[in-house]
Amino acid sequence: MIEGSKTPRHHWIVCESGNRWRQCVLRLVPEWLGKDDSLAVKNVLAGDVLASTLRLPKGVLLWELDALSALRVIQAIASLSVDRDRWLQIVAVSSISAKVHLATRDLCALSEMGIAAVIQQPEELPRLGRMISGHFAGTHRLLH
Amino acid sequence: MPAEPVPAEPNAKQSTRRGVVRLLESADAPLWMITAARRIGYVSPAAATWLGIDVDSLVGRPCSSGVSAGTDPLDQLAASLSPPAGLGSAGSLVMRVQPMQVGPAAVADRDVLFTRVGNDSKAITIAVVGEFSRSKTESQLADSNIADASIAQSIAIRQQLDTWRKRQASLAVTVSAGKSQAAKRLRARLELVVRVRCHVGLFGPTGCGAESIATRMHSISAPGESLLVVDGPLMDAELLEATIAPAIHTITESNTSHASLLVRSLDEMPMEAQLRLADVIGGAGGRLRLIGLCGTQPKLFREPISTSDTDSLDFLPSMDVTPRVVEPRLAEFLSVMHIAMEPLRSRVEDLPLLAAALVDSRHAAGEGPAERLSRAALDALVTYPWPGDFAELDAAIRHAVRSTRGDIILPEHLPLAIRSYRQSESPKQESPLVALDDAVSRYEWRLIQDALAATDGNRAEAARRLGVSRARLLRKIDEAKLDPSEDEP
Repeated sequence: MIEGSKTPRHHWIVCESGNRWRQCVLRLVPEWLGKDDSLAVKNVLAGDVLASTLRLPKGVLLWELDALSALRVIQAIASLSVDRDRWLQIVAVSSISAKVHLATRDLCALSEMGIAAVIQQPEELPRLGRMISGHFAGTHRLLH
Repeated sequence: MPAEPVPAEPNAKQSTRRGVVRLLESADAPLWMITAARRIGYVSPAAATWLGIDVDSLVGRPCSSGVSAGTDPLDQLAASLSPPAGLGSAGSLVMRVQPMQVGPAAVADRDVLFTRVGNDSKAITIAVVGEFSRSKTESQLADSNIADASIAQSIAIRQQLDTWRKRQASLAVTVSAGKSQAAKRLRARLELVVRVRCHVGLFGPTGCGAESIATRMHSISAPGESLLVVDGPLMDAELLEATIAPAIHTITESNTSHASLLVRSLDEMPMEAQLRLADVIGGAGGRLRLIGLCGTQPKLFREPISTSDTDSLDFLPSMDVTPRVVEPRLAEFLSVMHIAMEPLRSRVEDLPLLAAALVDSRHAAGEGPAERLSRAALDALVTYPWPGDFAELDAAIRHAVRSTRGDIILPEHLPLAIRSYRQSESPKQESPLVALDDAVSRYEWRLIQDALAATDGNRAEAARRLGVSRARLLRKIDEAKLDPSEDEP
């Protein structure tokens, strides 16, 4: 449980250029939250992710990956997976704005850097529900 | 009026045509052509052999989207040979074609290269079966730098829909399309339900498409049997008897005849009508089948009305308030076989497939040129919570298809409520449902209690203060005694 909070709060940090994945998280994540759980979603720039995670003990980081940001994002993912092991990292490949087509095998390589899952479309997020719930439940157990 | 003489074709031209046809027919790869009017224009002998049909049986049949507007199996086969959406932009695409089976032998799925030749309204499509790399579609799109990546997704969706249509065949009700667990459960349940003719209960939110499932299920499990549709909430016992009279007449005509009743919102049907319906169905000895459409399942089974309650139901002569419960005998009939429909908002994974299936149907019915959804439009559908469930999605796609001038549906073609929807971070607490009659009764009862307290329990004086007759006040107090939610005076 987070200090000062009476209910378990599921923190998400979304790092994207637009608002697509934030909307997706706001709409789909509450579907699998418990009755007393609440959701907090924050959009941050790639450079501010580390600072944002410092203030929170755990959560989910959703990175939008496109051609322009790929290198910077991958570096940040690698460094955060070491420093912030209580943060579950997910990569969302934006097919709406990116002019890059990444093959699945390329995306699989991301798992070696600490990425828990790769999704390509918003409707794929619910299939991660069990894993994400387990992440928060496990962290709660540790904290208790 | 005499017909104009047709000028004789020069021999050289005829000879060239025969040569082209011979050339096409000599190819061992199955091949077909689609005209600018989106109909099958030519089928090669190799294609006919592959499909198990005569060469000419498909010529002239519509071939514009994966689904046929009609029920003729040959129309459905022609539809399954149609090119993927987006061919107009890409020019050439590979797709796994899964032809519908019309003959006794199963038809193998094959990779097909579709090539569009010509411009817009005069373009024809040539389809050739061959060995193509499975990743060719993706690489084609990547290599050719096609900005709209939704073409690749629409091909994937089309292939999933074709698989579903082929496997489900006549049971392919649109609402059952999808790859989520909910969709799989629904299909498995449907396959089971159509094998026997028995009472069936369908439980789901308003607009979930239960009625289309019920009618399809009926036509398969009891072909030729009459189906009478009853609007549950509108019935009282007398009106119900008058409404179902034709069905009763059918089963009393002969000892072997059967009939079915499809009751909409059975759990909102007034209790006196439910009691009458239970009597009728119980007395028909299985020859009158009940297909009941209800709201959520738990209300039905966890809160059955006890026998003692049904005995005292005569105190509810005007059941204006929706009961939302089912009479125990009806509950027993419906528990024989039941299907639970998940709300659309929890079937997010299925939304692209469901939406594409609806676009296909509208396109095949000639309602508009739109043949696929852009990714941005799909995003809008995915992030919308669908309070009106499947019926709302159907209406949204109808609106979009009719608003679109091109072949692709964009967010601006969707209804305003959907395209402008934004989920707020702290969703508002859902306001509890308030039954107006209950609220008014409670308020009225508080006034009566205050008046009685102010007059030391003198009912005549309290009635005067409240501006009602003493008899009316006494009646109100008696009614309150029957309602456990209100404290007795």
